[in-house]
Amino acid sequence: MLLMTRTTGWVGPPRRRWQIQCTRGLWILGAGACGWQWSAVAQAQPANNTREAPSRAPEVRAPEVLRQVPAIYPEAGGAGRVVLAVTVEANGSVSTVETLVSQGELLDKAATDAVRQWQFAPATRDGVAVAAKIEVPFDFVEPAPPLQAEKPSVSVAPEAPAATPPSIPAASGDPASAPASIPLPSAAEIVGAGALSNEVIVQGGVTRSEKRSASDFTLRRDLIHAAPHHEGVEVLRAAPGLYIARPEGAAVAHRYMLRGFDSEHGQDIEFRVAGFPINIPSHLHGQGYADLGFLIAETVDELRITEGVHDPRQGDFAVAGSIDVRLGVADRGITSRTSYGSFDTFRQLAVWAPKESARDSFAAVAYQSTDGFGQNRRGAGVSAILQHALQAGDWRLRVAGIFYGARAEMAGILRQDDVQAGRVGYYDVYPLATARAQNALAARVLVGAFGDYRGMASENAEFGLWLGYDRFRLQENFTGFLQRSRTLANVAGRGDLIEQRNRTFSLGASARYYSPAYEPFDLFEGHLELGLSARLDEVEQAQNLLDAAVRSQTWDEQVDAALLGLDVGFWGDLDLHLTEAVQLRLGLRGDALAYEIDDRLGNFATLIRPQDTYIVGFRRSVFGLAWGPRASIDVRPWEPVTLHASYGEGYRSPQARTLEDGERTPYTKVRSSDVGVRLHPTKAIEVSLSGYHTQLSDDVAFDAGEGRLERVGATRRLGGVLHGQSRPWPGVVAAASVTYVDAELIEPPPATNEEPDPPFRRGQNLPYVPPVVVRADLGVTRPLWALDGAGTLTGRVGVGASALSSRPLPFGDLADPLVVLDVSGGLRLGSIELGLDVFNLLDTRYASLEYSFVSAWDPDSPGSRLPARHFNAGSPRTLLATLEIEL
Amino acid sequence: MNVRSLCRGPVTLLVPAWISACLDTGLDQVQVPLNLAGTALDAPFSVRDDWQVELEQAQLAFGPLRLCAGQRASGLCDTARAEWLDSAVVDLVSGTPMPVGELSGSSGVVRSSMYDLGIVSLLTRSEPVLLTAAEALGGQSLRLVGRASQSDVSLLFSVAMRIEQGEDVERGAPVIRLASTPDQVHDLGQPGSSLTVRFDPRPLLSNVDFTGLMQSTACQPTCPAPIEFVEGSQPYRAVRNDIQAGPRPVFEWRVDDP
Repeated sequence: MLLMTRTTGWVGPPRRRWQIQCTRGLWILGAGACGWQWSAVAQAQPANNTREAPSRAPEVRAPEVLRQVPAIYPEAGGAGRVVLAVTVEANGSVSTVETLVSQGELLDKAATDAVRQWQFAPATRDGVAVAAKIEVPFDFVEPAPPLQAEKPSVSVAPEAPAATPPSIPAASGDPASAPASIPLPSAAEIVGAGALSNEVIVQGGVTRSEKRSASDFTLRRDLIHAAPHHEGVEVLRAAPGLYIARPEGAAVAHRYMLRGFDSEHGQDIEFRVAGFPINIPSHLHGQGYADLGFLIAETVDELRITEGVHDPRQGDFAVAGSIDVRLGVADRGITSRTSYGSFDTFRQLAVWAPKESARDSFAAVAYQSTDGFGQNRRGAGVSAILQHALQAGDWRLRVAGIFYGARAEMAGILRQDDVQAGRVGYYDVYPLATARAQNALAARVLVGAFGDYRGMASENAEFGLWLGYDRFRLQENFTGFLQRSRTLANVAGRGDLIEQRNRTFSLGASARYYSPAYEPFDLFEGHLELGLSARLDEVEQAQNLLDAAVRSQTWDEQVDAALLGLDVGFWGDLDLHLTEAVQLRLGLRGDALAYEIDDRLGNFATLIRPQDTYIVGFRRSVFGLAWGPRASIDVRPWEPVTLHASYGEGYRSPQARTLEDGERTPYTKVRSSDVGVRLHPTKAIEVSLSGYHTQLSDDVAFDAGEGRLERVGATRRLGGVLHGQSRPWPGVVAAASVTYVDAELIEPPPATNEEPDPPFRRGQNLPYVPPVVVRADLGVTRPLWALDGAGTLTGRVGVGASALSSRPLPFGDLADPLVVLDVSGGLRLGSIELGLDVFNLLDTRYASLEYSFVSAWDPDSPGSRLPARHFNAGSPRTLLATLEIEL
Repeated sequence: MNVRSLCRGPVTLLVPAWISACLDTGLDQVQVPLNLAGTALDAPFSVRDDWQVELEQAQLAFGPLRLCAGQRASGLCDTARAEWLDSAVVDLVSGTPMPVGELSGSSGVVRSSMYDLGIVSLLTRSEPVLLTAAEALGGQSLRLVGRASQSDVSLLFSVAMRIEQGEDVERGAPVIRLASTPDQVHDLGQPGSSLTVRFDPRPLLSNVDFTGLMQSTACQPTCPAPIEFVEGSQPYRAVRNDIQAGPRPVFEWRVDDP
């Protein structure tokens, strides 16, 4: 890689490393510079304006670079010149950065991020420090072939004089992202007169590639923010094959479906946000519970989606894949965003992104409240995210904190036959105390410190330490009036209002090291990565039945448990460049899992237990090791084409309370393989097509009657993903994906005396899994009208569409297909934007989720014991108007 | 080649399974015609102590009926395989099947069943609920009127009986649960299936002590008015016991060409 700075038009003392370009590169604020008089940055004009020189030219010195952080060449590649207008304040800090010449968001971002971290000796006029504005061009150059580009190279302009090197830290990004790091130029790279302009050339290097399969995707800010978002987590909708619903209200985690997996509340997707692992093991409401309600959409900078299991860094819950959410704020300064719309929905966002910091430093807080789109859906929540990053030598250190709380009422599920018969409205709740009492509360805090080291020759490392506290309480009735009390004899029918409480305290650490290149001979280059991750979770959980009609009296105790879980993961990964066109990675990952379970109601059996024969309670412990290989190969037969093949074995930890004492394989094994091709026919287009096969040793499916996940046996998924994204013109981004899967049960649970004919049979399609998921996103931002003296009026339009095919339900039923279309538009003038978001534009009446199970919602008639279709209503057409002000 | 086999072929890559026909949900939803029938009695029948009984009227309130996949219909039948939620009055002395509706459910084998006799117990109520069939019988589950004879002695009798969950039985549970018997086993997935539940009234009176009943009355050798079985008496308990725990109705499955 290469980085070079050149300047021209030198005015000022000789041998300065940074130069003043009188004609185009520097404007001194409020005073004359280079013989001209300027009044303000806003009036800065190209310096070929001709003005009469004052009688005495003041002595002007340009800003001098004291600390230069290199730009990070983006993994997605790209080339071209980005020209930035950088305001250097009188204290030497960078305040504003404007893009004068853009090469797309990714390159603009890389350049802007870098220059924001630079520090200068300020410009002076007659010895007095003054603010100045300079142009800084960055030339991005495509990477050379791997074996040649691995070691950064430096190009020095022939006319470069020697110069004293500034303090030069290495660049870095987020630890896991591992884009090519660009070492800083030596002093000789910052050269003096003779060149045409200040110029920084950034050439991509090759490090550990994040895209190990054709099912790995990186979605950038412009794409994930193209469609409107009702809540932060909806930025994930742009992920190929991912469907998100929030059927249980604003305080319960979403339901996620990804390439053939009904991941429930996150059991099959490993989520990571800003370096924090989000899934909570052994959560009472669902294994791997991942509530992303805290996400603030405006702070989501990038999504990295790894579908399948083939990267040794993927740990627990990476069954369908992993999603890594990177946070950052592009628009620096203070931003206020106020929204109001349908159903008395109100949202207030405030973001503070210090102008002198990089985009990964910010503080944001969002409050939202709504009456909901139907009965019993009122809710409110607040989320605060703080992140600050600083450079310390070769390390980039980052501290982050996430604070979240929400409470919401829930309408719960409705029987389809009740709606069809007019007994309850589509968006209503059953007119019963036990239904109206449904609600949830969530509170979560995550704090951590992370470090990211970028060395030479692709050497890099990272570490993280974090603490988490999560509190969850739910009152929910799925089945109406079917439950009997286990604790109290002859007590039944008080309504199946289940109360769940779960409290988790977690602490964890992670570290990895990626070695410099090892090159024993030509045409071979190897790296070794060693990694470690560990977490400890202490969980308290309880489940009861409440009688909503009598001040929520407890009428049964079902769960009362304390759990301790420990997961220590370790991996090694060889990253081998065999030729310029072949990259092979061979890895191995192991996870040691240990549990202690204190199931305080574990052997409770009132009706058959003589009162004095034993004491209720059941304690056990478990230890097991899950391990498996991870391998992938890339072949680039010709320039725009990369062929991928990958295989990996992963695991999902169990719901600890279901384990038997001494169980030796306390996990579900997943085997995942992918083959595919990735094409870049032009710089603006990326297309990938992949086929995959995933097999699970012991899958689970939601059993609403039991209110938990039940084992259904071994399963397999066979499918494909077609994804394309394009940025054909500046300000235009479009993406579309189609995911198809045939998910079937290959080893149903064996027949027993009690269940001689299980409802699952070999070869059937897995319930709840949509065979086809389609997603399309489009975003267009264009200048519309140049207003005299008031800037340019800019228009924005965004579209997001999701479609799900019909999907099987248990007991022979089928859920309806659905199509939902969201659109948004906005007008921006200067620092003010007015926007309008319309969700479900077509006002489609759809069920966000459907189920089939037995319920009895009429307390006055004999209820059916046949499974019936139930659903959670999806939101009708919803309008949200937004006013955004940047201060 | 059926639709499913097409769906599993390469066609799916071109025409993904948006079409629900390509989805194998494991089970199919079925509707099975349900008939109720008694037993035609051409002649008096013998019961305890060689009494001959001739029934003039025999009606039973029946329903709801649930068919279960398990070997024993009990708590395991929380999810029924098929059910008929209505109720109807069965003429126990008519052998002609009477259509009463359809069993709804999903394909698969049924092995056991459970039912009520026109009066159901709800989890949510302490008092049982009368369905239409029991209301038609004046709030009773069973009505019998007949004549019992032995040598030159005869008597008219009548039975009116509520069969409902007692205090000692689980609230919300059906009053009669039948463990698996060969006649109950049937695969509901067979097209053209229909079910006739046939009752025989004779076992209901087989343990009635008509001799004792006769001796307790003052109207020998012939009683002109019907003697009603009084709750708590031996005849009453004998009928109640036989209807709850005695011989079962017969499940007559029939499969016609669809």
